[in-house]
Amino acid sequence: MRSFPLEIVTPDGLILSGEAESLLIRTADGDVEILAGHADFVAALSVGRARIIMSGESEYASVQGGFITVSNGKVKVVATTFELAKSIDADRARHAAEKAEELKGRAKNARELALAEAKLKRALNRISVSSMK
Amino acid sequence: MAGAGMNDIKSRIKSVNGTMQITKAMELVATSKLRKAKLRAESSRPYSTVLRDALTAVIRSDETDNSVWAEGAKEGRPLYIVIAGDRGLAGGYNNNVFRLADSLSNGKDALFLPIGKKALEHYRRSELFATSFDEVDEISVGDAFEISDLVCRAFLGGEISRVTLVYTRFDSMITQTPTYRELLPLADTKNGGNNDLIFGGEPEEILASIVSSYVCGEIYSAVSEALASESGARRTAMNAANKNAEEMISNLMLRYNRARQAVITQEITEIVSGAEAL
Repeated sequence: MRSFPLEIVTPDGLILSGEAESLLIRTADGDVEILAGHADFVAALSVGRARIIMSGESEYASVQGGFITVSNGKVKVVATTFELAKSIDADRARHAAEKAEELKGRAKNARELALAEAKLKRALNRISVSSMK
Repeated sequence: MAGAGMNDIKSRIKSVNGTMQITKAMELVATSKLRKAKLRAESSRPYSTVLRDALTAVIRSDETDNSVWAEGAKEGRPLYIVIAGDRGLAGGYNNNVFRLADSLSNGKDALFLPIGKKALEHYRRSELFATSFDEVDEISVGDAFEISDLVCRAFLGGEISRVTLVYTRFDSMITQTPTYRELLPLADTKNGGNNDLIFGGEPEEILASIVSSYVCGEIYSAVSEALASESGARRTAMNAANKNAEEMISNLMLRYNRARQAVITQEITEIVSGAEAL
C-alpha cells in the first residue's frame, strides 16, 4: 500500500513523525479516513478515537481538539492532546471519569455543567481507546 | 586598636561568605531549572512551527478572505501579553522585557495581560485584561488554552483590536533577547491563494478552531521560552555575584592578614622595648 508522511504534534511535543498508510480520525463533521494521494484538506477535530496504520500495523489513539491539514500530500495533525492507546493509563482515566461524574452532580450553573461533561467525555474516550491496544 | 579593625574585617568576611552561599545555591537551582526549561522549550517548538505552517495554508485560501481574524475591530484597544518572571535576582531579565513592552505600548490606549508575579507588579497601575495568571512557573497547556479562549473571544467581540505577545527569547545559555510577536489580527491573508483546499466543515468555524490553537500554542511556547530565559539570566547573574563575592573575600583576607601581622609586630616591639627599659 502507498504511504504518506504523517506528523502529529501537541503542545507537549512531537508525538509521531513517519510514513503511514492510513489515518482515520474524528473531525467535527464525522470520521474521515486519509489515504496516500489525498487532496489538500483542512478540518477541525473533535473528541474521539483515531486509528493509524503504519507498516501494516494498526495503532489506536485518543484525540481531543485541534485540527488536521493535508497539504501537498503531507498530513499534519495539530491536536490538543493525542495519546496512543499503549500509553494511556486506564486506571487514571477511570478515576478521572468518576471525578467528572461527581463534578457533574455538583455543577451549579450551565458553564460548570458543560465543563464537567466535556471532562467526562474525554475520560470515557480514553477508557474506550485504552481497551483497543 | 588594631584588634578592633580585625574583628570588623572578620565579620565582613563572614557576611560576604553568607551571601555567597545563597548566590551559589541559587546558581545551582537555576542551572537545574534551566535544564528542564530548555527541554520544555525545545519540545514545544514543533507544535508552533507546524501550527504556523498550517495556519498560513488556510488563511491564504480564498474561502477565508475578509475573515474577522484578518481585520480586527477598528475601535478596539491593543492588548499586550507580557511574560516576565515570578522573582527578581535575574540580572536585567524582568526590566528588559518591560522596557520593550513599554516602548511598544507607549502612547496607545493599551490593555495588558501580565504573566508572572513581577509583570503583575509592574502593571499594577495599568488597565489589566486578566490578572489570574500571576505564576509563570505554573502555566500549563490548560492555562494557555484558557488565555487563548479569553483573548479570542475579546477579539471577536471587538473589545481588543490587536494582540501582541512580549517575552524573552531563549537564544542560548548565555544570551536571551526580549522580543515580541504580533498574534492577531492575522497577517498575509490574501496572497498566493490555494483554492484547491477542501474544507471539512464551515471555513469560519475551522479557522476559529485553528486560531484558538494557534494563540494557545504561541502563548505556551513563549512561556516555555521565557522560563528558560529566566533561569539562564538568573544563572548568569548569580555566577557574576559569586565571582564578585570571591574577589571581595580574597581582598578582605589580605587586609585581615595585614592587620594581624601589624598587631603581632606591635606586640613584639612593645615587649622588646619593655625588656630594654628594665
